[in-house]
Amino acid sequence: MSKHMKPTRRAFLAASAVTPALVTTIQPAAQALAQSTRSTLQTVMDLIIPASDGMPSASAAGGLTYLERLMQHDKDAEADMTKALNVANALSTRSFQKSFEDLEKNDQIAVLKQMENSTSSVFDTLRAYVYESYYEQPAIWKLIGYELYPTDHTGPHLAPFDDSLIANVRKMPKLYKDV
Amino acid sequence: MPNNVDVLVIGSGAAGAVVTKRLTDLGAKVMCLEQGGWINPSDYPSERPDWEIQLRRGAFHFSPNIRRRWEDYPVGETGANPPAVLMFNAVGGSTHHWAGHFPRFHPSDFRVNSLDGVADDWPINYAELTPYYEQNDIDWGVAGLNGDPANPPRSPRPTPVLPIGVLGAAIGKGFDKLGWHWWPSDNAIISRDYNNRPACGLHGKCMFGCPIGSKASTDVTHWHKAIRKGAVLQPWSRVREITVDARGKAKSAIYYDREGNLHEQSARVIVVCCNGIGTPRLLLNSKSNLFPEGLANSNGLVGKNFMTHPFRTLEGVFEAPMDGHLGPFGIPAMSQQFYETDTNRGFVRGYTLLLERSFGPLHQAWGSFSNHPVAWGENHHKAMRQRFPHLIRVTVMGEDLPEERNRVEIDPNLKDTSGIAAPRVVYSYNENSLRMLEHGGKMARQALETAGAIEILDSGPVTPAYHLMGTARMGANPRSSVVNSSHRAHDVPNLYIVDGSSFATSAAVNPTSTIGALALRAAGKIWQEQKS
Repeated sequence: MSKHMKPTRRAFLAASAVTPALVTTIQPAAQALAQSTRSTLQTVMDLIIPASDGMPSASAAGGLTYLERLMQHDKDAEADMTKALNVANALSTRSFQKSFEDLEKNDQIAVLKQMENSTSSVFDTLRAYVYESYYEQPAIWKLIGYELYPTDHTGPHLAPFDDSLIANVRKMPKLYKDV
Repeated sequence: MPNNVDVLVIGSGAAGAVVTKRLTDLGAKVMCLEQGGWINPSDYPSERPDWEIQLRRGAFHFSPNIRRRWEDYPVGETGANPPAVLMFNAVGGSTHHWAGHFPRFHPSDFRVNSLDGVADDWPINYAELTPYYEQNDIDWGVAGLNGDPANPPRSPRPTPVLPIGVLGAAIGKGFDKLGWHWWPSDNAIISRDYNNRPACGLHGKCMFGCPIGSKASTDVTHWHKAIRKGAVLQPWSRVREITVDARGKAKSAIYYDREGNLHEQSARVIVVCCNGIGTPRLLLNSKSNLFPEGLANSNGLVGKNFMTHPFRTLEGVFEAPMDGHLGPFGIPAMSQQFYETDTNRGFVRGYTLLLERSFGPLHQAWGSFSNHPVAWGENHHKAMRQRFPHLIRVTVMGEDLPEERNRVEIDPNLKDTSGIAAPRVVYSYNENSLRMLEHGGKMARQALETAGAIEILDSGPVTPAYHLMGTARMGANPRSSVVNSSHRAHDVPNLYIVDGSSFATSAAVNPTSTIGALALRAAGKIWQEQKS
């Protein structure tokens, strides 16, 4: 059975402290993005995955560093996310005559919803990257009860098959056509 | 370059490995050309924490169009329902990238025209293939359980059935309440140490390759043995065309090495094992004065009748954890309650309901197999906690019927990295398939709800083309098929085609077990016919 726990911020911090892979992941990267772009990306990702229910936000979990590093090394990812942020700013300007960063939180959410409806593939891609930046963090795995089970370690315990489960099926007549 | 090759096999996957090993065991001098290389198991994504990223990008992505390794070729995807083609090119082929599910065809699958008036009967039957299924199970290593009333009896499975987990037991109880068939599946994943391979450690993530060799892939199960017996396997050898002599017999294969140098390898017999897309591509690219429309294609059927399996995935969300991410990917169980034709359902033939595991939390956040992403925003964490690990996946996998409009052809623009023309697949669902998926969706929903699902996520009809079949079909009539019951091309007396392309019909089960059984049988036929 999975160890699916009610997460807390303390648990997250504790998990971070003992998870070498996470430490590696959130090593400061050379900032690849202009400060304004970085700031917008952080705002967007924390609207997509905010801190709530005892879970950290996307950026607090190391997601911003993750995405920044990804954009440095993957041209497709860089193009995808740059496009998404540009769309967010364009929609923001069109609807509110302000840049995305200058909007109130509720208006920022409205812009993202507008983006989700009007340019769904762009939003879907952005959301997928943000989810990746979050659920690739081993500290988050601990909070949601996911264990990796590397092959050189013991795998999970699963009970042997219980033959009584198919007692009724064994009594069924032949179901295939004998031709 | 060997100059006394009896049999030249092209492709080293499920079929090519079995054919090569069997022919070598029989005493033939066999050489195999494989366009990919050996995969180091430590390179498998399943060894890495970021393994799920390969579902979107990377060198182990299922699609050659996204993976884009040197050894891959692009595949155009078009038609009313463009298929998402999935394959892998390496020693072992797509057996690196498969669930390991190892069901057999039913006897009725070989007689669909006689029984249901659709498609064509195979020129062979289930009974004839049975001993090859049995031997193939031993060679690959299978875990399973005897006694399934939906299938003919079979020998004791080489290893005991794998654990089906909380998920398998929960959905099984749902089927039981409905009085429907279900059964733990045969998987080519060994549950006990077997033939110098370790038992499955239940680590999961093995859809991308099993690092310890518990899940069968032919680089592990066949190639080392074949090479020890004398077979020659030459990786990084991409075949451009098969040449013929003045009498119309297959003469040689012309291929590129990885540096772009061109070579020619002759043999007495050539066996094409490149599966449902690679095989017609090679034949259509092998044009000559004697075969201006491509090799073995005098009736124009090479590439036609492409089949894959119609799919629809429903995922039930349960209150209790189902832990679908734990354990070997495989297929824990399946139901064949709706496998055989019942015309009251509004379609012919039938489908299997696959009761399946899931990938990890990232894939589930992305939307899993039903493509319903977890909500973003304030409710994200609550929604994610409801989803992970609370899903059970039921996949409707239907029988596809052959139609000439569904086809593999040469794309006028696409080329691989050696400059060889690449294929495209044109595919549309027919009405029978859509009615089948509609029925299957309702039944899967009923099963999940009966098992206790509180929410159902439904993909609708989708076309992930894992199973590539029918494009050089087997038949007794040279006007309506490409190869005969021995897999010998009707047009070319020393050319054999052994892989999913030689399927006359698709059945409603994963094809690899049948590809292996057919390949074992074909190897014997090839040796027998070419010796006489």
